Amino acid sequence: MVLTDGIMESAILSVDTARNYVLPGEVLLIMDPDYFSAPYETHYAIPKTAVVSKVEHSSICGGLTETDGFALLYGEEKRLCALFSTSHNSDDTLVGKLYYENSACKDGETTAVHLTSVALMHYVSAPPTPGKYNYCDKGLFIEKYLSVQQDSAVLSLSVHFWGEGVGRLSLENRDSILWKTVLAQNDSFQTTVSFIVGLGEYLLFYEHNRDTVVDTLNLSALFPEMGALAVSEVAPRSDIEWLELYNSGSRTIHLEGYRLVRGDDTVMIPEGRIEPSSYALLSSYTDFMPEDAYIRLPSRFTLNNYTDTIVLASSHQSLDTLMWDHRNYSHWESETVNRINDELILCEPSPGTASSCRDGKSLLLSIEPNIVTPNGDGVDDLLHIAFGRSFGVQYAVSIFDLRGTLLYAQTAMKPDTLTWDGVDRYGRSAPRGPIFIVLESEGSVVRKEAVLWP
Amino acid sequence: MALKKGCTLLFIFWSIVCAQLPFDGTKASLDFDIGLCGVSPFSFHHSGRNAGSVFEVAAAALYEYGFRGESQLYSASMGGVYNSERLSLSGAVTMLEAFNLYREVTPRIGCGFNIGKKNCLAFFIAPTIHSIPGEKKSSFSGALNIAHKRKIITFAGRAQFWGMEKGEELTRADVRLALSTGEHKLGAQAVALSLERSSHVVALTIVEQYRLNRFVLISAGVQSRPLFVHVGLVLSKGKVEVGSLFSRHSELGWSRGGYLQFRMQSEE
Repeated sequence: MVLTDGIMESAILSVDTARNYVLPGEVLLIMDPDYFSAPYETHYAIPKTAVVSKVEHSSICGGLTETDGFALLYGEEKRLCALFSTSHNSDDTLVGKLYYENSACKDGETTAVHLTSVALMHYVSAPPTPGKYNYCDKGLFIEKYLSVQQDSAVLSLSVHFWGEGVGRLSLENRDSILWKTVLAQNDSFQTTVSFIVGLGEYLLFYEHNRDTVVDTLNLSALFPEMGALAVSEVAPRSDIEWLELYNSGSRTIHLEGYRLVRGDDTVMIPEGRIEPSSYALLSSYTDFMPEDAYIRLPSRFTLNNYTDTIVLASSHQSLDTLMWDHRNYSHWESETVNRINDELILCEPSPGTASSCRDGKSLLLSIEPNIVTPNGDGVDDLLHIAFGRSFGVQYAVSIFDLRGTLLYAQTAMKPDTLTWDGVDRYGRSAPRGPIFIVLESEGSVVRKEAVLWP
Repeated sequence: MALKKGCTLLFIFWSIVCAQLPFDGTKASLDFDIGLCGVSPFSFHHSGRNAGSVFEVAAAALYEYGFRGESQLYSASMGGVYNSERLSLSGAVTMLEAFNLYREVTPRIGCGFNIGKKNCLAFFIAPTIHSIPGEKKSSFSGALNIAHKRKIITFAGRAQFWGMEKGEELTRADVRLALSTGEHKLGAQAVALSLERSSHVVALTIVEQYRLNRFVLISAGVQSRPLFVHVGLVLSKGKVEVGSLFSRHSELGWSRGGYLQFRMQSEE
């Protein structure tokens, strides 16, 4: 991607990222090495936590010094929150470093999300011409604006051309040329054209004095397959919180540009992708798994252990909402919240794999403790039986001893919690030994085992 | 010889009954604790029906309530019986391991006396050591059996208690009446009624067994309260007998087990 400063202060630089479009909520790197003292505070917004990528020194007009500054522009906001300086690396690259922060800027400002229409700006330039004198003063300069609607987007190109030579510009998709124009020599030309774009890849060709740049606009992330990406599992109760996304569609989904929204907090999902019918794990914990097994989220992204709502959003719309409330579940310990057939159930954790609770049919049964000591000492005197799956169905809970004798039976019409004091149906203390807790509902049966130790 | 043959058949029959059925509330008792005087493989010999001394050893293993294959409830038993004309003695030990949490070790000794040619009186006692991680307790079980044999029919009665601890009131006990036939053209049959003392639950057990040939014997049965069904296959040749057993609880699923028995008999 090629960037220049917005006021054409003879600065052009390249950033070593393959990205050539910017999604809402992302930051856009603006560099202005020769206009360092400008009152950025009045113009730009910069996220405090943004990290600047490597910058190719060779592409900088007149060279980039350590005093050159970067500004990061966020979405529609135009307020500076930080500035970056650069330093040389041994491999002749520059690394940007944060050296100025605007204390008036809050973290939340950098993560505000617009789920509907969002206008984006993307500054591109004509190809650099290193070695040519005064190349910074002439050329083709384009501002790209992408206004994303619910299922389409408007791409606006604001073209600025400062003659010398001939410039050509075209926008194509895989099937046809959508638009092209030729810019005459020595013209000072400025125009704006707009296109309705949809899912797919667009190519923006710039040609200036035989130098050509192809700018690829991959809008797949802007228009995901409806319903293809969803939060399939979340572990809010775990010591190490994580959540799982599932791609049920037919295309690979690049997660870059997607967001997770939790209340006022929004985090961008870093680079990553999910193949069709595959899962991706997201966690902010560093010791969660081998690093290549999950996508790391910013550390501030934490889940409420009991009640929370997570929204998965693409660049312009909400895709999925996962809301859990521990009060809907009779047990809330080691299991994770799984979405199975549009139903949220608790199930054994299955990070990165399909849930063990297939088709939402599996019953959930948990017991506590596994050694019941009904001796009146106040410790593990009662067996707590929690069960459920969904409301409106009948559950039958039974306890059997080693001989297969029924000790206890109870029915319920909703997920619930029962306690058993070790007394059988005839009022006697049940015999010491193994016991079996059986839950039956709509033909499905699950069983847990415990030991009764009176 | 006829008596000996009858005794042998009866022994086999009861072996099946007792080894494969929840005859006394355990779904597949291979642990020598069931009854005496013809209510268990070993106790039969307490009745002294053999025309000579008999010594038997057996080992059995049981995998209980295998639910989708994940059950972790196992028991294993070993024991032996010595039987003379008037008196018989038995000893066995059973170990039960459940869910890696619970363990039982139960040694048993039994003694039987023959009263006349048709009656038998026998008993056993069995202390059990129960343990969970970091703690142990003990309890006692026992039974008194009487049996009367008339032609090929045996009437048996038993009073049993189990799980009683020191200083506690006896709450777990039952009485049982059983009637069984020796083998005839239609196989052999047994019916038992047991009454649990404090719950007043009456359980009915019905067993049919059929010998396909001199080596192979099959059996099937059903019990109520709790509901069990069972099938079994016993192979015998010479002094060795091997049994494979399956019983199914209506809720808890299948249990399966097997036993190996070796019998030595001295002719009079």
